[in-house]
Amino acid sequence: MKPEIAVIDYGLGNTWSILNALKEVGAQACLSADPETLHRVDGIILPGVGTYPQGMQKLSEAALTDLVRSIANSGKPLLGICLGMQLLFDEGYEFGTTAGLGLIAGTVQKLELVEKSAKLPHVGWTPIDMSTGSTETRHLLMDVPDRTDMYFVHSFAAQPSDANTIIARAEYGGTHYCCMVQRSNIIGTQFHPEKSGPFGLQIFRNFVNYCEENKN
Amino acid sequence: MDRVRLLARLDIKNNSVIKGIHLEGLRKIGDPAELASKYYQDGIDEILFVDSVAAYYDRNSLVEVIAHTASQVFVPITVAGGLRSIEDIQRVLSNGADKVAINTQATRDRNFLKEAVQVFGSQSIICSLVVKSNGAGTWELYTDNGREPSGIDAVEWLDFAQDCGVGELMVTSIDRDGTRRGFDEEFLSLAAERARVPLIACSGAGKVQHLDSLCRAARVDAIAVASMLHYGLSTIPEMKEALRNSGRTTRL
Repeated sequence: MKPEIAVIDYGLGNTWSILNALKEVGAQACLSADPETLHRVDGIILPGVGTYPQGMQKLSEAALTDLVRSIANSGKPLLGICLGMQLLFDEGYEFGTTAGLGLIAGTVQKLELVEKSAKLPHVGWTPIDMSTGSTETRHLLMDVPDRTDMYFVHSFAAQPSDANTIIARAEYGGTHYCCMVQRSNIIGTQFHPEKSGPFGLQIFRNFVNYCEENKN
Repeated sequence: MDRVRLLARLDIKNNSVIKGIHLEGLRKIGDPAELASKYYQDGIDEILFVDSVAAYYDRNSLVEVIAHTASQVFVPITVAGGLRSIEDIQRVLSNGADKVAINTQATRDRNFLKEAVQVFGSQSIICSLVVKSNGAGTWELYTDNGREPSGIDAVEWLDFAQDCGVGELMVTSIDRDGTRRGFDEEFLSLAAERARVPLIACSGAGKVQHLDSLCRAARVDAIAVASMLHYGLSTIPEMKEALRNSGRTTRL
């Protein structure tokens, strides 16, 4: 049996590409907001493109806020991508202050760029630096070389309170920030692995393998 | 911020990739999804689909091509041409495109760019500027895939688009399109000086020296190539090497 992964359907995010990437690495993938399905599958992905308040509002409208929290706390692997990663934190400061899911301690703030000539949003390929990241939890970076380029599109970035949850950083406009985070089974990438070529697919492969191991 | 992205531009008519000169005299190249997939395998950073007759019929006909491509290409995909409404944008984004580039409709409805940015976020909305030199150091914006002069000054339009909150700017030069004579460096350096968001340069690349030369002349963030890829004038690794030789860095 192939591992089954559900992409959370709350009306935000490039779900088509994530589903394609999951299929490409051999998982069964579906798009769902159904509590039974989300509880049944081996792992879930929280996508997201948009603003922080919009993200939390849409989750709430789909009655998914508490559901996602309880599934994550049950130990099932959860991967948040882009805004989906940001929502894992305590709160975001985009258009005011919005409470997040509170699954990982920290906040989400606008990127403060050291180089004033650098442009926002940060769009493009940027290497991810694993050298200063925590090495305890590296499930998803297996067979991904240090400083591999990943595709980013964002203006805000997470600041985890516990540096041990940071597994990779990126540098843009002279500023270093957390681009990949993990606290036990809860993982987030600021970049888009579904748009990051063969090594982005490797991250999905690792996630699917992790979901399979976790199931047994 | 010395990074530069290399895009493959695929202009499409009747489900085939085509290439013209000055956006006219189209020649058939091949199947869009197949070519996009090949360029992805060879290391291209992004794919840009331009529906070249869409503006003529006021609709974008690429949905199937996008969906098929997105099932095998795992880098960003941008779609341009014939996007006239929020629903049109929604349709291509929900079928696997990551970004859309808007030209004609932004001139017909001055609120359209702003509205699109509000609905989809600036990261998904690119303003496409199709420009032609008037001689004397000014450039005019053209619409309908280069068929109609708009009477709008291209530099003023670039400022307007940024004020609307678009996430990127893309410049196509009618004078240089398909000529393989190099980019319109004069306009692109002017545009790069005013750009507060990433700038994508199209039109004119015929050899790797043109990429090197443009990078030295203008602070562009991305370069799109078409003829060079379609006619096999150079390989993607060779193009990236040329970009790096100009002092920029690239992915792969």
